[in-house]
Amino acid sequence: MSTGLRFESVTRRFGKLDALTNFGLQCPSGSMTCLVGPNGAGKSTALALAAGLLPPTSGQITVSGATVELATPSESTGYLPQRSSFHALLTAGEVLDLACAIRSVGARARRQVLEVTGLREVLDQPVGNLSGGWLRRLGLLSCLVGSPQLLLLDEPFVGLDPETHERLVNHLEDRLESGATVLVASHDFEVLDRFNPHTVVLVEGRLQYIEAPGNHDSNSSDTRDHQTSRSIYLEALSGNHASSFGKVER
Amino acid sequence: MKAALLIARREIQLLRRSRATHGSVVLLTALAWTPAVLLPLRSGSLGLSAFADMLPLQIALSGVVLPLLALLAGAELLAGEIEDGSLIPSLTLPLSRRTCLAGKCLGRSSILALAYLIAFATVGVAVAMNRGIDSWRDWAAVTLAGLLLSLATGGIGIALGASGKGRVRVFGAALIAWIVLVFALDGLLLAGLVALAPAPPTEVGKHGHTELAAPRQPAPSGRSLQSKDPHARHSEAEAEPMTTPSTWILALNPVSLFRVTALTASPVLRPRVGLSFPNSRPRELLSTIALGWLVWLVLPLGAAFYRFQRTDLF
Repeated sequence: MSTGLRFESVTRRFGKLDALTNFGLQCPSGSMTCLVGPNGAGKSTALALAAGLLPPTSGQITVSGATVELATPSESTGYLPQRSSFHALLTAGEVLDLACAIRSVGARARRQVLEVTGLREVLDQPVGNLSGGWLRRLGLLSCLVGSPQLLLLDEPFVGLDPETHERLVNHLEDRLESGATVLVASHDFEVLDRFNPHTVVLVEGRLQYIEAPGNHDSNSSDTRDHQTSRSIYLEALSGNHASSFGKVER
Repeated sequence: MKAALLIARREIQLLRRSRATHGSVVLLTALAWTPAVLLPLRSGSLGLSAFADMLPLQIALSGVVLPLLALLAGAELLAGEIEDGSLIPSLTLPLSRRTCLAGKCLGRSSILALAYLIAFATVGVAVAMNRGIDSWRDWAAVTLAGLLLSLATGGIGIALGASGKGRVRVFGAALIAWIVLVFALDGLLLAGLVALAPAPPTEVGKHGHTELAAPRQPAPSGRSLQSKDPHARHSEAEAEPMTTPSTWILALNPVSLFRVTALTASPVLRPRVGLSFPNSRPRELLSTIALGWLVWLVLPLGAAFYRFQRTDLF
């Protein structure tokens, strides 16, 4: 399986704060990797670095072998930031039009992303009039349009109603089947386990634990043989994780 | 190129709905009409003044108001969107920051330049219909020089906004830049100009006081241009030509360069400040002015692009 996204000894500092320290990770194509960790662990920083919105203080990030450059996002990357802020004076339709035009997306792909996000009914509304949930969907729409091969999703399931939530899960499953790479930061463990992801635990900017897929079982309560994302996370935090379940890259 | 045009279109969509843009249009309209309407009021009459009479006041007002408006509009271009995070969605699309900034600059400068030109064109038409078209070319030249000044100072504002600091800090920096350009640096350069000029011969004037026989150093300041003292006026034949080194000094400040440009382009104003071109306009002077504007249009924008490439948006 080829490597879709790769972090190589990446460190990012904000002043005196080390948001990410010597972070190494490989996200294979056609798989989902979920970043879990307490608040302020560096999950969002890792995603912003991969999106090319932040420069690493040291280290290198590559997407399909090409180095991620600050200020020049790749055409194959879709990024959903933690907070979806759009200019209040634009309509949702204008946001979609811009995203479609820049990604050179046709009417069919436009319809598809509208079906996933269910935004059709508010396309004429100014963004300033939309609720938090609608804004979240608009962020998803901007990220998913054009079917980018690398999806960087920061808390994608937060604020979504159950129908949109389910449509998004189905869409992500389709994208994974078609070979897309997904890196997601989320605390929605039950949903994450449906994708059987690589689970990466970050604590205070350091990689604490990696769980390979195959050891997950969302239906099992026996955490000795089958690990859920939640149990991996809790064990990693408590320092009781069994080393045979994964390897830590430092 | 296509992406930059798409961003420019989005910027125009935003500006058409923005109250700040509406306010700027009102201010530009007021700026355009003030010289035409205000001057006749001094003599207690209502109406419009002629093009030639409007020029000094227009230069004085434009040299103060336009840099302020342009600096704030330029600073807001990036500072506002960086602060509220609305720039991030654009930058998550396959769009380089350079393209994004180019599109935003194009959109904002085109709509504000259009508003400026429409505001002044309406004044021009009204004055031409009421007072005739004498000296309209001088007035048009001053108007276009004002547009260049706006673009140059707008670029400085954009460079300040590209720092990624908050709105308050960027607007504070823009105000400081305005004070420096319009008052401090302008005064300093004029002082330098006087210091470098050869000592002027003096004579006892007709009113018994010592006055300049001829203003050997040009004073392209809006304030001095408003003098109505007939002894301050000299014919082109009497006046000394402005030398290129003088222009170089004034080209160090876009506000001073605006005045030099306006005066150079205006045969009506030149004799009033002792600026003359004995045969034809010296090529060096025009080259200096053109080069000065080129530098002031390109340098701040270049700094803005350089800075924005490296700005942390989180």
